[in-house]
Amino acid sequence: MRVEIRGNKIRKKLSFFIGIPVFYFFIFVTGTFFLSSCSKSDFSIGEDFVESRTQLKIIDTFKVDLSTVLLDSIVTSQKSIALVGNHKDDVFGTINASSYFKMAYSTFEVLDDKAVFDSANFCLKYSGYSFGDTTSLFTISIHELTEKIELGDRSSFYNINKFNYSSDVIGSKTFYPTPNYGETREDTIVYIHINEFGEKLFDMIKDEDVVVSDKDLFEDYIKGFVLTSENPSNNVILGFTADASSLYFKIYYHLDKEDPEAEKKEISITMGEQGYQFNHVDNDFSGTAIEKLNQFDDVLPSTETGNKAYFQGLIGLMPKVQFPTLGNIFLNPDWKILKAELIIEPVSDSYEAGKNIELPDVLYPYSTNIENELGGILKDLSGDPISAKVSLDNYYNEDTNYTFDITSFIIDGLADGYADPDDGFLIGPESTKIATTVDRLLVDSKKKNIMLKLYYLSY
Amino acid sequence: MHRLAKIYVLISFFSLTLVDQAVSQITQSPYSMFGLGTIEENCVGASRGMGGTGIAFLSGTTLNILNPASYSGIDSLVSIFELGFSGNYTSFDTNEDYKSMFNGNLKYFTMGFRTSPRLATSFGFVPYSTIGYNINSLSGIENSYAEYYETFSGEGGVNKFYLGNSYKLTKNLSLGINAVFLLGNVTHSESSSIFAYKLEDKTYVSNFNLNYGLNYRFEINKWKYNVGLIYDNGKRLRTENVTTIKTANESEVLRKNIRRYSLPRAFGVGLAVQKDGFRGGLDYETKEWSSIEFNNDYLKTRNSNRYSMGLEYSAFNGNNKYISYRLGVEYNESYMVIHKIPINYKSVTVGTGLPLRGYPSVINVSFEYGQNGSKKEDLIKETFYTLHLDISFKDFWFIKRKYN
Repeated sequence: MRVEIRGNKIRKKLSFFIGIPVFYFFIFVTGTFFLSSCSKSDFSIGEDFVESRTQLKIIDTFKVDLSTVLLDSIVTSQKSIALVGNHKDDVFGTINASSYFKMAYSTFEVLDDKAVFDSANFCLKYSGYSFGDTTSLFTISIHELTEKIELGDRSSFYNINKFNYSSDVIGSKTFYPTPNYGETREDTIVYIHINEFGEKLFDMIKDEDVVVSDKDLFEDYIKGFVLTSENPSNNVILGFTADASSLYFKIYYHLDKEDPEAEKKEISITMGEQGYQFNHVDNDFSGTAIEKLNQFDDVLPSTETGNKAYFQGLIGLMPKVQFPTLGNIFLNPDWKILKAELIIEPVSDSYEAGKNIELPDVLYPYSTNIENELGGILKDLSGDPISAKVSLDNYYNEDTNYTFDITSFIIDGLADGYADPDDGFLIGPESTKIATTVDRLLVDSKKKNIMLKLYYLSY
Repeated sequence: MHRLAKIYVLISFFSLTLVDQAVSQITQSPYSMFGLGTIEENCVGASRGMGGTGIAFLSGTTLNILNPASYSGIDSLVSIFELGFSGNYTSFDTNEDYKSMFNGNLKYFTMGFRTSPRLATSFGFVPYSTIGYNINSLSGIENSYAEYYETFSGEGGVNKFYLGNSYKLTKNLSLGINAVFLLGNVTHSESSSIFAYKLEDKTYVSNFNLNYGLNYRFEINKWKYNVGLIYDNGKRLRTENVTTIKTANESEVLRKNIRRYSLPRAFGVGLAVQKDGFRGGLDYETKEWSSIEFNNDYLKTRNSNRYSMGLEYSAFNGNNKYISYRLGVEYNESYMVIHKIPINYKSVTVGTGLPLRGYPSVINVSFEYGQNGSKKEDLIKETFYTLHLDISFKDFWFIKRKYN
C-alpha cells in the first residue's frame, strides 16, 4: 500500500517533471542543429580521398549566326510619351518621329459678354527622354488632323500608322531643348503660341456655338493634332509626357475691356484618351549598311551588314541570334547539358557614356518565330525571365559584354534530339524601351566577340 | 491509457520522425566516406560516461544495451525509457588546413522492462554506423582554364532496430539475445550548386541479425563481480543501389552499381566489480573487419579492437537520492587503415548521473574529449569535444496493475 501511495504522488507531479527536461533537451537539439547547419561551407579537408566520377566540359565552337530583323510594327499607343524629332547619321540612316493624339471634350462654361481673348498656348512637358544633339536649335510644329484617329480593325496604334493632317501649321516654336530639366524642375514646359486657332475656338465658346456644346460635334471639329519635326536641321528626338495633365492647350482671356490686366481667366483643353495617342516613325536606311532592309525583306545577316547587328527601338530593328550547327552536337547518353551561355559584345566604338549613346544596362532575349515577330522574354529553367546585365570593361573597353544564361532555350531546342537551325531569339532592352525610345545598340558578330558556351557533364 | 504510456508513445513518435534526420547528420567526419562510415558506440546511459564500458554491467537504474543479457538487471517494478542526445564540437587538423564545426543530434532511444520474474525485454533504435561529410574540392573544366567547386558529400549509415530478451537462467547466470533489424543506406554524392547537378550513388542496406550475450555474477569477499560475453556472427547486408543524376531540369536513374556491405563477426568480453557505491568495469571487443573488403584504393581493413575502462561512484545526496560520478577511458583501433596509417580513436570521459527531483528518473550528462586519426600521410586528425545527454525516464506502471 505504501508503494501505491508513493506512486500516486509521483504521477501527480509527473507532467511537471517530465516537461522540463524534455523541453531543455529539445532546445539543445534544435540549437545544435542550427549551429551545425551554418558551418558546412568552405570545407575542403578530405579532398585528397574523394574521387570525382564526373567531368565538366565546355564546348564553345558552335557557330552563332547574328542578323538584323526589322519588325513589322511596334505598338506605340498608350505609352504616355510623345516622341518628336529627327535624327540622321551614317549608321542607322534617317529617322523622323511624330506624335498623334486627340483632345478631351468637357462642357464649356458660358462666358461673360465682357470676355476678351488674350492668347492661346499649346503646352508640352519634357518627359526627360531625348536622343541626339540637344545643343542645337530645334523646331517643333503642330498641325490639326483632317481625319479622326480611329482604331478600325486594330486594337492599338503602331509606329507605322498615320492619319491625314492639314499642311497648315497652327503653331510652331524654335528653341534650345532642355529635356533634362524635366527631371529637376517639374515645371519645365515648352509653350507654343496657337493664337489664331485659339481665338477662333474662343469665339465659338463665347457664341455658344453648337459645335462646342456637343462632344461628337466638338471631336469632329477638333479631330486631333500631330506634333511634327519638319526642319531638316533638327538632329534630336525629344520625349514629352503624354497625358491629360502634361499635354494640353490653354486659351487666356480677361473680362474688363478697359484694363487687360484686370481679371485673367483661362480655358484648358487637355489631351484625350491615352489609347489614341501614339508615335509614328518614318525611317530611311539609304546609304547605310542596312539599306536593303524593308518590310518585304525584313532580315539581313550580319555578314552583309559589316559584321554587326542593329538594335533601335521605335523603328523595330532587333538583332537575331541563331545556332545553325547546334544540331551537330553528339548527344551521348552519358552526358547532361548543365548550362548554356551566350556572350555578346557591343561594337567597341559604337557607344560612349554620357553622349546619348549609352549601352543598355540590361538586355533580354525575346522569343520569335519564322516570321520574325516579337514575342515574350524567354524564361529560364525556373520560369523566370532571362536577362543579361552589362559587364563593363572600363579600362580597355574590349571585354564589355552581356552574358545570357540560355540553358532552357538550348535544352528545349535539343529536347527532341533535333535542333532546328531556324530556331533563334531576338535581343533587346526591356519592352517599354523598345516602344518608347529610339535607343540603339550595335552587336558585334565577329568571331570571338559572340560565343555560345555549352557546359556539359559527362559521367 | 496510462498517462506516462501516452508520453512514451508521443516521445517515440517524435523520435522516429527525428531518426531520418539524425541518421543523415549524426556524424561529420571525412573518414566516414570510407566503408560503412564511422562505427558508433553501442552504448547508452551510464556507459557513455564510462568510456563506453559496459559488457559486464547489468541494467539497473539505466539501461545497458551493450550486452543483451544485461536486461535481467532491470528492476522488476519499473519500466525504463531512454533518449540520448549528443552535441559535439569537432576540429579537423591537417598539415595544410584547420577547420572546425558544431554538430548535434538525437542518438538513440530505447526501452526496457521486465515481463516476468525471469524474463526482461528491451527494444529500441541505435545507430550502428553513420556517414556524414561535406567536402568542397576545386575541379577543372575541360577545354577551359576555369575551375569550380565540386561538393562531395555523404550521408546515411546503418541503423539497428532491436528487440531483445534476457533470461535469468540461475541466480547468477543470465543469457540474452537481440533480434536486430538492420536498415539504412550508404549514400555518396558529388554536386555543384553553380552548375546545378548532383550525381548520387545511394545503396539501401538491410537485413536481420542476432546478437548473443551472457552475464555471470559472483561474489568474493563482499565484492560483487560480473563477467560478460557478447557475440555477433556478422551478416552480409542486402543491398540495392540506386544511382541518379539530377540536373536543373531532369533527373535520371542510371545503371545500378554493385555494392557489397557486410557487418563483421564480433566478440567482446567484460569484467565488472562492485562494492557499496563503487562500480568499475573493463571491456574488450573485437570485430573481424579484415575479412571485409570495401573496394576502395585508399582503404585497407583490419580487425577492430576496442579497449575501455570505466569507474563510477554513487553517493546519497540530501534528498535520499543517488548522485553518480563517472570516469572512463577508451582506446579504439578502428577497422580503417588509410594510406597504411591505422585510424585509432582515444578518449577520456567524465560524467555524472543526476536524479530528477521527486522522481526516480535520471539525467546522465557526460563530457568526452577524444582524438581520431592522424596528420601523417596527409591524413586528418580529428579532435572531438562531445557532450552526451541521456535522459532515463522510469515508471512504476506495473505496480498499478498489481495493486488495483
